[in-house]
Amino acid sequence: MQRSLVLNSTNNFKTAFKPSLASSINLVFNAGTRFEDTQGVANVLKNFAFRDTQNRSSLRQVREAEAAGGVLYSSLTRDNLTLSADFIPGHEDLFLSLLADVVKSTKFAPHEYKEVVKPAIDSEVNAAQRNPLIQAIDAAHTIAFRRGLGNSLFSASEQPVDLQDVKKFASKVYSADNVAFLTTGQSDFSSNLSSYFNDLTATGQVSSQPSKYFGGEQRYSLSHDGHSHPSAFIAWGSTSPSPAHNVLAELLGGQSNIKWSRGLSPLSAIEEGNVNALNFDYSDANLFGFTVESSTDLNVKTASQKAVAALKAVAQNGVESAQLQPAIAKSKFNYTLYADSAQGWKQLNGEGLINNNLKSLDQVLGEFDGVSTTSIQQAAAHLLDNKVTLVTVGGRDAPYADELHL
Amino acid sequence: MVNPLKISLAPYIKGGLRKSLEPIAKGYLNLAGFKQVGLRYDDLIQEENDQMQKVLGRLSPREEYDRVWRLRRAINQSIQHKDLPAEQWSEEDSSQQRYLTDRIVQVTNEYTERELLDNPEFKIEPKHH
Repeated sequence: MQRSLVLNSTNNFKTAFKPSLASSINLVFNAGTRFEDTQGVANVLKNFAFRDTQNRSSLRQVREAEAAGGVLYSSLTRDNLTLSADFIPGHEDLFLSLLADVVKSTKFAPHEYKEVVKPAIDSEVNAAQRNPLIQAIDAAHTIAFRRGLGNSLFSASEQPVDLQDVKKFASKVYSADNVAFLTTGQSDFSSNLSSYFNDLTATGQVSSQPSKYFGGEQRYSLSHDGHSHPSAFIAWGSTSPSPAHNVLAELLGGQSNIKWSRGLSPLSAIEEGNVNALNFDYSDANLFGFTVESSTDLNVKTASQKAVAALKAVAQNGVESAQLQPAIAKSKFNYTLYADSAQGWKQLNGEGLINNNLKSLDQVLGEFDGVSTTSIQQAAAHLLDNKVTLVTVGGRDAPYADELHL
Repeated sequence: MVNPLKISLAPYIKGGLRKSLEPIAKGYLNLAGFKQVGLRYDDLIQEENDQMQKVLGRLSPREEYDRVWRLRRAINQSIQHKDLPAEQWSEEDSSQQRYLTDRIVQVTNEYTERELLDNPEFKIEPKHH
């Protein structure tokens, strides 16, 4: 960001470049799960990346990437679908033409869907369901925001996706005005983009319903495979995301900077279980919450009650500025670290560019500095005004929402 | 590597030669007797190999059902030493007779490509800055 970020708009493409030793090309599409017209379609499209195209078979893409020294991958969030190629400099044209193939001419062959894509989706779903917290957080989004932002990240096998719907979704989202090109490398090669992507059709930027927060409760039983613990995710949503929420998460659940220490934050003092504060930021909403993990349902319940009490204490009594300063500093540090990482750079710039609301690092850090003891108390109180979202994965002793002493 | 389609000279026979040979070929197909028990030409292709298994996996549920039904009916007729009534003989239409061919070619191409790419000779020239 800042000096290292070069913003271009050659051929009306939204592009950004960052100098780095290894090269990468990232195509960030406004095609996350919130833009789905049929359930699970974004996840299927993500798994259809780098499959057979008119010019290259799936195998050929992998072998070419291997021969040139690179990796190909696609990733999906609620807001974005990203197609990425990381590689050693010198092979820009190969990877550009490969990515252009994927976007413009994926075949969506029925046999490939059945033989390769569906098993990939199933194993993704299975892996997610093995982890109670992933399951809880995904379900919490659905309860909190229902349709749109609440769409599940996974494509459940109970809701098989028709291949025609995938093709329709692909032709809608793989559009010239729905994408940001983020490249890194030793020299800026954004000017090469147009020769590969200029015939990408522009069918308009996709849009989704503005998010609305609902809240509610959901209970899952824990699968007894011996690897997972009873867990809970307690969350509150808001449709006006503010840096105060990030600082609040840091204040309540900040991790220790010292190895083997639990830290001094209110949540780390809870002995019954492992409690963390998280804040999920999206383009038009956020979900602030606590993940609770413990050995028994009863411990999850006690730990959840204590976590809620910690948030209520902030809302009622406020915080000392001596506590707030380290939390702000930690939030700024975490953000900077994230913005500096390959993943964070893609995510922040991709989303900022597509939605034309890119913020500079100084701007964001300034917003963190602007968080005051009053604004954080207000933010906490506002969150508690809303109905809670509670997802538990455990047995009958796992807490109900009314047992959290809200 | 097995090619389920076996070696055939048919694609190389063209023009007048083809015209003169075609009645003989048709006569041979009728004498072979599979049409009379309701089988299609592609039902006779040996399926005990990986490629054919993959091809058969790509049939739609309807096609798969019909294929099994044709095979069972043919076995039944064969046991009885009887041909089906003429209206139930398999169709003349070559696209129906060769309903698997395209998919066999597709799968064989995939296998050939894998073999080629597993022993790659292609070269990617890096650009020097």
